Amino acid sequence: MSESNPEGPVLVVSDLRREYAEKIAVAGLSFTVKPGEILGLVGPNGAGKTTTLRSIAGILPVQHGSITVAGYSVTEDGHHARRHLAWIPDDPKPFDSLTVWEHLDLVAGLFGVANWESRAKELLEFFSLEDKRDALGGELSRGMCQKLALAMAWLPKPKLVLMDEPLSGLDPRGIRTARRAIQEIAASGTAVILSSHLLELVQQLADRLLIIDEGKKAFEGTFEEALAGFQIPENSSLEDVFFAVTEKSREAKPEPEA
Amino acid sequence: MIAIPSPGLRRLMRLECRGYFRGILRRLKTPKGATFALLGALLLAVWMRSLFRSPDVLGSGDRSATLDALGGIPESDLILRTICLGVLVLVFISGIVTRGIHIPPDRLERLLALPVSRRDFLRYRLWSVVARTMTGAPILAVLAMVRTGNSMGTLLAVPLFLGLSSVLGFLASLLSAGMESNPAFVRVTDKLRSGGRFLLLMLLLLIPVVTVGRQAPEMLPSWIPSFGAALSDSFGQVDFPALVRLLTRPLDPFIGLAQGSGLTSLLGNGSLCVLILLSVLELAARVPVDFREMAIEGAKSSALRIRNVGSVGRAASSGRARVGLFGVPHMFGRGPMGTVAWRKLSGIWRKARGFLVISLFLGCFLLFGVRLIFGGDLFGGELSGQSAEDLTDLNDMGSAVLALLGTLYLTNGLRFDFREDLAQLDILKSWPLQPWKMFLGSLLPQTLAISLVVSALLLIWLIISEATGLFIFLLALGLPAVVFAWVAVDNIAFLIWPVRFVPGQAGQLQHIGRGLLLTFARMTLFLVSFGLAACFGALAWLALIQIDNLSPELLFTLVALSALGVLVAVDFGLAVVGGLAFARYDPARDRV
Repeated sequence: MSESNPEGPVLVVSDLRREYAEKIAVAGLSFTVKPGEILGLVGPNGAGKTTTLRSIAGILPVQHGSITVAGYSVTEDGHHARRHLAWIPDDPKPFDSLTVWEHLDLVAGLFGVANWESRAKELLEFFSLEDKRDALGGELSRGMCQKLALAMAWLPKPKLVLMDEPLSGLDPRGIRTARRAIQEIAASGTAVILSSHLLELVQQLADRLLIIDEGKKAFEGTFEEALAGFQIPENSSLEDVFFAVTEKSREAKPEPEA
Repeated sequence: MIAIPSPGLRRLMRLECRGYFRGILRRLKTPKGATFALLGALLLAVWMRSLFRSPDVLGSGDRSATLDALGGIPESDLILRTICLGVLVLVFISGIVTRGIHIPPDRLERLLALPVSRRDFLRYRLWSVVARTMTGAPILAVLAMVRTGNSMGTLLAVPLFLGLSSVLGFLASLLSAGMESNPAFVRVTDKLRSGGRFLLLMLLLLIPVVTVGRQAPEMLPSWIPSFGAALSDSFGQVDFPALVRLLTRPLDPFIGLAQGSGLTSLLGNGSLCVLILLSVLELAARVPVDFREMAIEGAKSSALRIRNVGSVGRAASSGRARVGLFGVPHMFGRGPMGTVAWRKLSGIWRKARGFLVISLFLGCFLLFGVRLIFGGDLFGGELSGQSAEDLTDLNDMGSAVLALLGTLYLTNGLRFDFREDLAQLDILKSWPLQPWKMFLGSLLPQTLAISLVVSALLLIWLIISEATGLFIFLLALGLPAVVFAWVAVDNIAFLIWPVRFVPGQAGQLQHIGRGLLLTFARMTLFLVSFGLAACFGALAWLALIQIDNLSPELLFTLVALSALGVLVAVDFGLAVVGGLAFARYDPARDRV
């Protein structure tokens, strides 16, 4: 499969389902993300956010449905699809035998980034990691690990960045830096999926929201569309939207028969 | 009683104990847990049965047989004392290496914040350590009981001795933590480290000396062989039995309890043993060392070690990596697979170079020992009755055994494979390369490191023995393929069934059952891979012996190379299967 039209969506998820023996993690989820768009992925614990992100990143095999990243099918052309995306897990553990600089070297080798050194230096400076350049992964604090994960994701200039709780462990200055970094990378044309329980942050950054509950799409659209659709007062926050949407989704669920 | 912790801590111990057994019962309720437990129990039963049916090493014949040559000490007594001494040495070394006390990281802060005295807290930890040791004691007690032929006394003596050894290990660990901040102690350890380096240097110097001695003995000063002979003479004059007896004198009640029969010995020695155990325990609890900081520091590294142990191997579980003076070069190219291999190589270089050097060091000792024992002396003298041809055959066999043992030892100790990456497998799966390349790239550095160390040992063996050069060359050439097959099979089994077991974790019985199945699966896969290569080698031999004028050396080389070619093809097949296993791995479901 060839690369997609640059104007078209960078990510197309169609009827994604994921079942485990004891539960259905994702039940027929479909959505798209355009280049430069920040999609806020929100949902209660166990709603299927991480499973969805892991399926897109090729970490979990797709049981049913299809996912294409930059025109490449994740199922059939997995390694080409992964060349265009970066995955930042909720607890990014760096490799304890590599230094911070070598982590960037690793990413450059894996993604085939030419002349990476100058960009790596810029990223270290941007994330205030210059003085940790020669520190080993095992010596970094949680916040530093998060920053390093962001720098590693940014280095190959991917078309899609998947972030699962990317700001946990960061101090206020770190959060501000990361927020600016997310906005800048999106402005350069990279699509971002941001999954977080920090609803205020999602509200500030996301162009569009995807609220999922029990593996199903409960809402997809802009914040304003959510306010209008669920008849929520205009000055409400994403937290109000979140509760309104998830409660409605639960009300709509048929009661189990006695 | 002084050696018993306060009521609150006793209650905590009771609850912990109850929790442990509740965990076991809960596991038994699931079909998988029950099946594995049944398998584990079966395996234990078979083992125990074999112990009871095995020839009674010490019990057969006259148990009180005295070896005059051993200074009049009964053989069984000497063996018991030597075992006890060995256990204590190991416990002391482990205690000194651990430094400080181990408190489970998840409970560390809550426990240190408890409103109890330092002594009381130490008593609680000591009893916990003793109780943990006691869980494995019954098996050892039965084992010892079969060997000594004395049931009741041994059944009591073994758990008491193990309890005492764990307390002594705790004491050593606590004392070494106290000395850590002592500059004099630091100076001594530095000197010891330098001594180790000097020994290694001497050993490396021995290689050219032996080589020269074998090729041109007249070039060596005469004092070198005389010094060697004098050293071995004085070593032979040491009265080891008496020394062992002297060193183990404080353990007389334990030895007496294990060997004695009758109620008097049971009561007398038994109560003495309990008294010794309680006294040492109370002494350890009263050692004035502030262990808190050391415990917090230790918990961090032990958490890392526990995360890796049993899954990563000794070298990788040592915890901390060290950055060297130079960066690790991209030896495998800068493509995605080369980068994956480079990452693994960095791990080996930064975390296991000490292990590799020590392995080489131990291997050299072993080589010289084997050469001295089985192959005549180091300078080319042959044992009486051995022809040169016999010696070459024997030495060739020695090379094969050396390659096998070295590979087994190093594959067990050096595990920079997927086990090490279990916590990061989701990140690895998001990397843009085909699964088989990821599998191959991840295992290549470990394979080469092991092959390199074993090849170095084979080279030294070639210098100091009468082994055939061609045989050793072919053996070294085939090593990477064999090592990769072994490591690949091991990792395929792990990726399909990524279970890691940490010693002390609940579910020991299930683990034994699971381990049995996994070992069976690994061995079957490895034997099939190796069998295929051997079959093709045999076919090549059958075909090649039809050709006239083929020298035995050439025939052997061609057969070995054809078998090796097949093994390399099998290795690629294993890499593809490994890639499929890696792609199948589900971090959500398979994570343990």
